[in-house]
Amino acid sequence: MTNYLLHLGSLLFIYILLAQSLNLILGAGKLFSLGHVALFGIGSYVTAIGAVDYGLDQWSLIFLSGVTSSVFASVIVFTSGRLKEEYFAVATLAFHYVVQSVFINFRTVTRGVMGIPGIPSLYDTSLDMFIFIFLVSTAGLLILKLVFNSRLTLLLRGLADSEIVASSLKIDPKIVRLKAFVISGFFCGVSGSLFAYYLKYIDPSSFALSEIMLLVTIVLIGRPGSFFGTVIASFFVILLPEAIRFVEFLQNYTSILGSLRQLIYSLILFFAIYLTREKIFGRVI
Amino acid sequence: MKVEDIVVSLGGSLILKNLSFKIDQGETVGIIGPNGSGKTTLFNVISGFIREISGTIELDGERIENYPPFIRAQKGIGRVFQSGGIFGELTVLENLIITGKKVPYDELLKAIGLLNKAKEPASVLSGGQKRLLELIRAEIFDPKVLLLDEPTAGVAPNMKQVLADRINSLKSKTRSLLIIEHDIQFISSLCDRVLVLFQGEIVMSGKPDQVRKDPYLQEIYFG
Ligand SMILES: Nc1ncnc2c1ncn2[C@@H]1O[C@H](COP(=O)(O)OP(=O)(O)OP(=O)(O)O)[C@@H](O)[C@H]1O
Ligand SMILES: [Mg+2]
Repeated sequence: MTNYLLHLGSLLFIYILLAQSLNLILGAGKLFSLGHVALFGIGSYVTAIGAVDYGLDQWSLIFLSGVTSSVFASVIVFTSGRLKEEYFAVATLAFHYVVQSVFINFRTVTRGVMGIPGIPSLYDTSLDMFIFIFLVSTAGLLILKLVFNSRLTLLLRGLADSEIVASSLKIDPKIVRLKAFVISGFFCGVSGSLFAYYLKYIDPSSFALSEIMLLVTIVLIGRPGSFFGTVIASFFVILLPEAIRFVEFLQNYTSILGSLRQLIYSLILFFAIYLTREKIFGRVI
Repeated sequence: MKVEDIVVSLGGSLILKNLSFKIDQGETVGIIGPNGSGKTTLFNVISGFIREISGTIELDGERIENYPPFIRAQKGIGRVFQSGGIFGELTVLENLIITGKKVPYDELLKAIGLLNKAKEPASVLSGGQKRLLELIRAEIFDPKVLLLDEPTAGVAPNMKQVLADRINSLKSKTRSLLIIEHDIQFISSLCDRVLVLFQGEIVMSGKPDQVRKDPYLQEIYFG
């Protein structure tokens, strides 16, 4: 039972950091990025390959994973930063699929669908591992909190509100978005790195597009752009389906629990989008 | 600022036809003209939102017509929009802070009676309050040339006077104001000179009183 809670706690803190990175872009910037799971995956692969093939230590790899995802995040801005709303979503969707197909097909480096096993264990006990993940994630969240309180986020929100008014106040849209993506990408990479160290084995299936739905759900029900909202929503969205396991009358139906969880996510997401549709899609629909 | 030989076509039709004028430092110039005569388009050309043009725009001797809007803003072009000029999703205070200037925001908000709304989303403000906020933001932004697009459209007469006072306080020896207005009375009281735009051309220019009396103006406006 303790191990199970530590398992949940570890995943939770990996995902809070990832969801908060998306919250900066989707919540504050209203940029519908579908590329954040790919950025997360890039961080995971950098850590897996760096640890297994090159024997690098965890601090170098956490940093390197962050930087690599940052670089790819800036590629998104350079190629798609000028696109409007739904076109931006489609462009980042394409980014996701390109990255995923690299994971699958660039076998000499990524081992393809076989994945990369044997990522070294950092700690002997799951408690120590949880503490490690907790500390790194919290450090990342503190930095992100500062970013949310900073002028950059104000500019990002202003641009989301009206790019025309913002640029007539000498705000450079591209630089603001570039900075936001570099920061967001960095923490996607860090969280991906933690993910690789936690599972000790990664393969492309962990970075399927469907994962973005979990993140989008968190950001939407946490009130887009709200830092603490996303933290609380992460607890809710990640722990709620787990709680269902313990509802007694469901114990006999373990075979359907998996699909039940999918159903619950879908319902939460549906209502989250329904309730926030004007905030997020106001300018599109 | 000097605008020369501006030609703009949008959606296949000629909107501005070889338009040229000059505005001196410290001068306040009004632009009047019927709906659809190209006034807002002219402002969009000057502030850089429409860049597929021919002609030149010069500010302090520097050609700026190829710069994107944010660089023109850095060079000193400011704008008060005909509509949608405030960030509805930011708070009233954030609408000012976003200028990045170090000024006493609270005092300024107090001066326009919006201090008690500082933390509310600006979308809750009335039309007149939004105008006031935008004018005070323009004052904080401190441009060399400020383009005001119908700053008093749709506000009550008493508010109109408040806005006029704010516009007057925007005037300075080093700043030029270009004001689009339909109310010729109102513009006469504010401006040194008036340009009349009709079907994309400047058809008249001169002192407000001169222009006001001209029968041609009556013809353009009232058909
Ligand atoms: N993007 C565009 N594409 C096509 N035509 C446009 C575009 N923008 C403006 N126009 C046309 O250009 C003409 C001038 O429009 P503009 O907004 O400059 O008028 P205005 O003088 O500001 O009018 P008003 O007093 O009503 O604000 C109008 O006929 C308008 O339909
Ligand atoms: Mg207009």
